[in-house]
Amino acid sequence: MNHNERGFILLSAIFLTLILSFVAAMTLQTLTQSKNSDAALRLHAINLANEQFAMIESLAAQGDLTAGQYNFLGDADDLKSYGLIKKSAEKIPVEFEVKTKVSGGEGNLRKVEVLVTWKNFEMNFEKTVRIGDVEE
Amino acid sequence: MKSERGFVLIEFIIALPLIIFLLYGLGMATMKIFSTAKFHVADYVLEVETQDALTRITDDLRAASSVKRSNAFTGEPIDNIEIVYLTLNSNANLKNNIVVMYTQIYSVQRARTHGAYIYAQHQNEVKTSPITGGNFFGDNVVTRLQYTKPAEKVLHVELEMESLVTGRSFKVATAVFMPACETMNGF
Repeated sequence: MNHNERGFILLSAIFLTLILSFVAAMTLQTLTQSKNSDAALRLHAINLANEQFAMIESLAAQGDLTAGQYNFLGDADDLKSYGLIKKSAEKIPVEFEVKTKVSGGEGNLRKVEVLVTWKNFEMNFEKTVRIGDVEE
Repeated sequence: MKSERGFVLIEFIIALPLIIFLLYGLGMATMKIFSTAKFHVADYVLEVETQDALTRITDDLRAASSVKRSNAFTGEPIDNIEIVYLTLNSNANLKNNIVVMYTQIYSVQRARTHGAYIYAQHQNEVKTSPITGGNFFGDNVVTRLQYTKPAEKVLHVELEMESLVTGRSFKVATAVFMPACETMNGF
């Protein structure tokens, strides 16, 4: 048998396995981080929608809510300042957009649809609000 | 046979630094993996704790009949909030329902050496309870907690917390409509 055809020895196999495991572990860590960022973005979208609903409900309570399209009525800084901020104060460069459609419902009720978009993602929220002050 | 005589000294001299270099690399990679995992857990704890504190505060604000804001520390963007809410006591022995008033206070205090934590206090309780900090997987401190009034009966809440493990901050902000709120003090 030719000496050049003896193949891998045990030590080579061990080293190869170790190196491949570490590469796999590192890749997995990076993927987890990426997925977690997505969760933080979704969380911020929910908070933005709640902020918009609060502003819309305030308008409705004063009787100033009419059917139509509304832009974001909350704090404009919230559209770009959110989530995980690194120590270098470099913020994640993702901007959100909030659009709202108010349509007529039964009596003094109005249907409010809020669409929050960022990057290639979007989330829809819907709520029914009452026009006029809340009776105690 | 000459080719099967094993390692010679010169081969060992060349192999030794290579093995040391390889083991050093693997050791560093191991440390990096453990450190990254620790940071991920700390980031997760930071996100969950920040959102949880915001949710607790906004849930109580939603039922407020009056709110009062005050600055926790001079010159710092950290506020305390006092929330008064009303509820009905419908005891069967009473002819009429009685309106009962309760107060919930969320204050920020420097109770430990590291930084500021949010404490909740109900009016009947003597002690305050911390609702942030003290997590084994990552201690977090409050760096910003501000309440502003953007519209009638609406309170904008902005909370930023910093992890003492990673040094990173997490910010959440939202607004809450308070349908029964008649008085907003300190705005």
